[in-house]
Amino acid sequence: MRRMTSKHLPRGLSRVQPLHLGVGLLGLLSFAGCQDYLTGHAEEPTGPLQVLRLTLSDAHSRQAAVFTDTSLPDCKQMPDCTQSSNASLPICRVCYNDVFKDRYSPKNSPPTPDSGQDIRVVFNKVALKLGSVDLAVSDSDKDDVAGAGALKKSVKLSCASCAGLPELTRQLFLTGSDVTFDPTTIPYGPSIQMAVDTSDPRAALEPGREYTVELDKQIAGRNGEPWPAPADQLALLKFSTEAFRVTKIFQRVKEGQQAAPWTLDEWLDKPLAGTHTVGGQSPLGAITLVFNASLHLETVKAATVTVQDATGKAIPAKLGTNAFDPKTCKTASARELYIFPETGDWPDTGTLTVRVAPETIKDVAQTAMFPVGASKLSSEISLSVVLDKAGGEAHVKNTDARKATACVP
Amino acid sequence: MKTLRLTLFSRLSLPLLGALAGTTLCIPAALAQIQLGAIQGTLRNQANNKPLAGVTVVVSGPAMQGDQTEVTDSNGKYLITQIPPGDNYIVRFYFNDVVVERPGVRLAQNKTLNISASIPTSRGTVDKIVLKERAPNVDTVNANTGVEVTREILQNTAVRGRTYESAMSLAPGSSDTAPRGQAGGDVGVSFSGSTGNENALLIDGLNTTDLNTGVLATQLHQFFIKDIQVITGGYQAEYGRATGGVVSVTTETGSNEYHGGVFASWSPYQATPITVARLGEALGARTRQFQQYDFGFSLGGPIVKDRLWFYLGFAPTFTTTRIQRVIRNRVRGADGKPERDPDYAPPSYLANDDFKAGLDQLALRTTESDTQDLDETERLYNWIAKLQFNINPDHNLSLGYIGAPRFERLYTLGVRVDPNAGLLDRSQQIHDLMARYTGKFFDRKLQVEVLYGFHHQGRSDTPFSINQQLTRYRGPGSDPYSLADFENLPSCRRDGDFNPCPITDYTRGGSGQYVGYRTLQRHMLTASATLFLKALGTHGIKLGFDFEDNNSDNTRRYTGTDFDANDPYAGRVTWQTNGSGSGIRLNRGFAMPTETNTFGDKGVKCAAVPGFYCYDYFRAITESRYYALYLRDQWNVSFLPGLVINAGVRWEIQDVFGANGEKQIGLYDNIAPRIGATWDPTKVGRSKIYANFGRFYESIPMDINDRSFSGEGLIVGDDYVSTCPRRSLVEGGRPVVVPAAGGAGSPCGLDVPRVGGSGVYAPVAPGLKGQFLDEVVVGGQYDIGWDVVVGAFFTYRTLGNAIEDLSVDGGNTYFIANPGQAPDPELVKKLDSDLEAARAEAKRFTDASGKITNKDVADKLDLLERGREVYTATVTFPKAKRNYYAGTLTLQKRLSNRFSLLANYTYSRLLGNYPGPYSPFNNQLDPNISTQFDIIDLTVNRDGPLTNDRPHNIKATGFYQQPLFGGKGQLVASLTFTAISGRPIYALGQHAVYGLREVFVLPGGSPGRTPMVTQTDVHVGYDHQLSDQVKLSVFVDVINLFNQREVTNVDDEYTFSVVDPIKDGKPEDLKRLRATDGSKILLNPNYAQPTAFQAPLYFRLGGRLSF
Repeated sequence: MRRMTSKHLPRGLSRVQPLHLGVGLLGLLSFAGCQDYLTGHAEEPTGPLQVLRLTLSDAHSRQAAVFTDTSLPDCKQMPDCTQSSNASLPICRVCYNDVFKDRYSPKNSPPTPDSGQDIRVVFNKVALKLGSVDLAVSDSDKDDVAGAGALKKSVKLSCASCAGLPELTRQLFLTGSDVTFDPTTIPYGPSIQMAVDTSDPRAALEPGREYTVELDKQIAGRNGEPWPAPADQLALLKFSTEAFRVTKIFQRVKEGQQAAPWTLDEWLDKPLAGTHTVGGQSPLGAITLVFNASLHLETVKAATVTVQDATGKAIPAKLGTNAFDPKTCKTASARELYIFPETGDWPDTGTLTVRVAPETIKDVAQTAMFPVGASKLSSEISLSVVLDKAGGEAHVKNTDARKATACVP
Repeated sequence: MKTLRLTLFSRLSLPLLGALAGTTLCIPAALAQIQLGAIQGTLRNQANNKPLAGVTVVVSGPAMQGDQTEVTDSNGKYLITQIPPGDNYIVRFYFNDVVVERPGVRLAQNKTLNISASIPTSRGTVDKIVLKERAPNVDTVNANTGVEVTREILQNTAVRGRTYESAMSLAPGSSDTAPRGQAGGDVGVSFSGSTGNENALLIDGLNTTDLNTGVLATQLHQFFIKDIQVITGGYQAEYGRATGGVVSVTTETGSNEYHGGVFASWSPYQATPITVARLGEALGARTRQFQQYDFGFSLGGPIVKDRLWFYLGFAPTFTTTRIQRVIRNRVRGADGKPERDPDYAPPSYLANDDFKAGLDQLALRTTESDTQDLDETERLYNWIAKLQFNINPDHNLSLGYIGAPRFERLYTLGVRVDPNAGLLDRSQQIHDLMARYTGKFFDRKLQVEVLYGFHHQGRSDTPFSINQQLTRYRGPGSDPYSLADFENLPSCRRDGDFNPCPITDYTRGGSGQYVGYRTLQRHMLTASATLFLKALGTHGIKLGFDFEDNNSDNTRRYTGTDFDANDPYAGRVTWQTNGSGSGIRLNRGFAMPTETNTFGDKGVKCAAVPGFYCYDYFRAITESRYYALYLRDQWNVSFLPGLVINAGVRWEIQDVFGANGEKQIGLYDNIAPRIGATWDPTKVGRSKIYANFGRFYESIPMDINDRSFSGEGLIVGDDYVSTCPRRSLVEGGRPVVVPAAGGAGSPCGLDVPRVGGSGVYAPVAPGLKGQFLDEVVVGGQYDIGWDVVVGAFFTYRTLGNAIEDLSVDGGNTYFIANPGQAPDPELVKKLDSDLEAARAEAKRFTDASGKITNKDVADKLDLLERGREVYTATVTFPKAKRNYYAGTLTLQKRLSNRFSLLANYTYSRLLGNYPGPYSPFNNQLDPNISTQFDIIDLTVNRDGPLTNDRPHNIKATGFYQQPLFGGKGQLVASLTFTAISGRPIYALGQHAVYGLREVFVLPGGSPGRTPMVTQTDVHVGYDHQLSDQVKLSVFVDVINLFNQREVTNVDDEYTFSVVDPIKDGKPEDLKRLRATDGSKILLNPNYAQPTAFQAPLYFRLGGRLSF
């Protein structure tokens, strides 16, 4: 073939070049059919499935959601992250750069018994299989019995020190990511969620217990590689619930120049200690304390409470709980402890001293019929209750407190 | 036409042609930032091939006023700069009695041609040599890429529109296929993968880019245009403030002879477009250009010959766009249920059956029952006036004024609305003024250019339903609304369970947000000095400065009545229902934490937003200042002939001020190096191999001042409430949820919306860096003869920093930062130290209750705490990525031998997670404060092909001229062909906080790509010389000859449900997709259905009488 020079090129171009050009263009155009729209994607992580964190969320029992992330360190243990040898440590990434740092760590935000309503094992990629069986989206999926069974088998909860475990439902979430501005609003994922079946309102985790989420080693991602269950990931699957305690006391305080006092729920961020003052207690209502776990009714009813007025005169009183709805007699959560006079109501004014002996209030075990549990109050309840008839309605009237305890519709 | 002469080697002189040297020098009305053309070369002695000194070089041409001369130096070299773009230049070389002539030279803006020759030196042997070989067409000096669109191309080819914007997309790698103003589209012509608001749009040197958003602002009729230079890459230090392309328009000028003409064109017909409608629903639209016509005149000539020229033009363009609102009824089958559509086929462009699942169940047959014509009108009045003064041969001044006021009547909400609800009148005043001085000093070794420009944009909207609140109703495909629920259409009323006119998306009330009044003004001053000197070759060292003072005064409102403290449902707000139509929320409005705004107007205590005051309008007056200093050396290397090195650096400063007059952003370290090299292996200007590296900074548009630094508080609905009453809006209509008291569910317990931005200024992360991209261009060109230049080049562009607003509290407050920027430990230490000091100071002013009693101290502490927080939070966001890779083949043939051709093919990829300062996913034009990085959840799955990823891009346009009637007539036939790949399709869902179209359910592009769009346009014209001076031209354009109506945009919204993304998910995962609350998702019945088609065939007839 003759070498092309600028002198010869025009003639050559007119005969040969368009053909070559056309063939070339057609060749390039043929790529239009290829899957070029799939390029540039971030690749799904290779290797077996990894557990990134275990999250627990109690969205309802407190004034703000209680969220726990077992992967978060305790930033009080943070080394000097400006040292290059430490800069790449996960604790430095979290404690140095993260806006929320260890706000949701087990230490700063321990799970409550109601955190069992949303327990999620969060993976680095979607969990799709258990062995060779594709996981269903829900363990109650009637259209995919095998997948539902696999999902049920894939993750379990265990607790060696618990009296029992509540019933759990499971759901597979393919969605979610390892970033979220607020995990209480947008949860981490992908995950398998376990949730306590709350068809009985007493169902929850037991307080003060160590739990382990048991993940089946056959669980796998898209590539089918089984989960190797390394120790560091197994460690993420353990958590302890907070101890049995009072979380809230109902009282009323006058606020500013309001004509009527407000009813105020006083949330307690730590267990009761010493004598606690309860202001603006309506004489018509039961003194009400809210616990983080259901109370065992018979134990509560058998417990003694001493109530004295300002002169030291004893006022006969009893303990009860909202084991039943006072109107319908349906089973209720039994989270509230009522202290009410044996008969009638409290005196119109004055200050009452209330004492409930330690270890006399116990939770329920999460087994059939919810028998007495192992948790009990570690210290005495000591209250100084200021009575105020001018206030509004009580949280629960003394008469209703008696009904809720005894179920007399 | 003015010309500028500049001597390179001043020590040389030529007595022989001294008279010519003293001819008038005029300045073409080009811009300071954009170079005029230049011609250089080396002349050799034909006898011994040695460089020939003392040859006089004269350039003359119709675009020049007088000739330019130069004399070769001892190396036989010459350089003549500042030549206005134009055709048919003649370069003559005079030596003794020999004249060598190179005719037919075509010169473009910013190009330097190498015209060398061998000169016979034997006296008396030859008197005149005319070089038959065509002049070189390769710019052997510059390493930039792009295209030049000449007057010939504009007037002899079928340009799709009437203004210069239509011609921009002829550039290689550009795209103008995406529809404007709709999700999935764009806001202008895209270059090299950028979005349409990243370009610098210069007319005669003046920056006419929209100040607020970066889109095209000044329209210019194509008959006023002499030359359009579209630079898509490789631009040098003179150019800045663009991360897309630089488009430089040179307008027509006067000359020593009177020239002008009258012209008119008329587009009377467009074929019927395809109906765009949601699948199986009652409302559709067919939009077409019903009629467009323009006419006008231009006149240019001397006021004082060789001293003062003028040019005038006026060209109004009137456009009527007809939107045919189509009402479609479902067909009832024998079983009483809606009939399935037998012709339905799932979109073939969806890559996987998983994306089609469920869609066929929703495809129901419809028949057209009624149509309603809605005419939108636009009146664009374009005029131009120019004066050019030649003070003396070395000092020149030009003045220019362009007006482009535009008046429109628009249906802003489309057709799924009571038509009058979205109707508004828009008035826009756009005016540009410029004054330019060029002077030469020190024996022309130093050239100085100064340009002052003023760009004005005014806009005001007048909605027809100004007192009506906008409410958007959305309903599920399984139980949609009927059109009869909103409009009095008896034929659409339900018959039992049968809903003949279903719709899932309908808007009623007013048009929502509108611009009450907006004024944007730019004062621009540029100055540069170019010094020519010799050192190991020749250097053209240019030092320049440019400055812009940009001002914005923007008042916007929502339609509705004024706020009423006693009525939580009143006010200038919008409402929106959820996807099932069961709940409603207060969607948008203005609220601020202060009772009085900057202008002394009081707000009304928001009934719906405790702690905030609702305002009937929001206004902000803000300013930005941009400074740039650049230094550039164009070095013709003497020891390696043919090599030219362009090295430069540009230092840009940006000061962004808020509505309080305080500086919010100060960028002082925008250093943009540029280095390029070209080498002409042939050394005679027939080829070049080139490479260029450049860094280009974005000029932050003023939308960020107006929104982030103004205390704007935007009511943003959160949850939908289901306690609002339901009422029938029209007789026979099913009750729908309304934001009002009374009826079932009353009182309507509105959920408390958040106030986006909280009505406070967004803090700026310490150490904020400018947004930039880096670019590498490598390529080559070869002039193969016949004036045909073939070329190939590779372009790589990668985004550096991006500037975006981020939030770590779910969008309650934002801060401005570079996403993904790792904190500098030293700066963190300093911030910590400052914070400690501020806390210590605050402690001294803290009372017993823990309150800081000194406001300044409290504010300072708050600012430092926020600054520390946002600085360290920035790294938790992903870095913005946009990488563009392109290989381009070009073929250009300038007009010669009656034939011109411009063709290019680009194979490119655009990958990343950030399309640019326009977000096509939700059609958000808020540069640098889009939702793309607002909260970290929104960043998942965005990696992939971006909307401007269009791998195959072919353009070819050419024309042929056939003389007739003994040369008195000329027939012109032109063909333009374009083919461009479709865009990637997305699967979007609703975000819990941010709403519709914000969650990437699967990685971007997974569902496939819209079809390739091809189009053929034809132009046939006839020119007839009526006399020596007067020519009549008539033409017909046929746009989209084959009436191709391919899909150009689709609905990317996969689900109406609140969902989280399936990170790195695959299509098969969709069947297991659940809403965030675990429920089954609500599929958008219109997913992947077309939302726009190619504009169908239309004609344009036109004529021009010129002299």
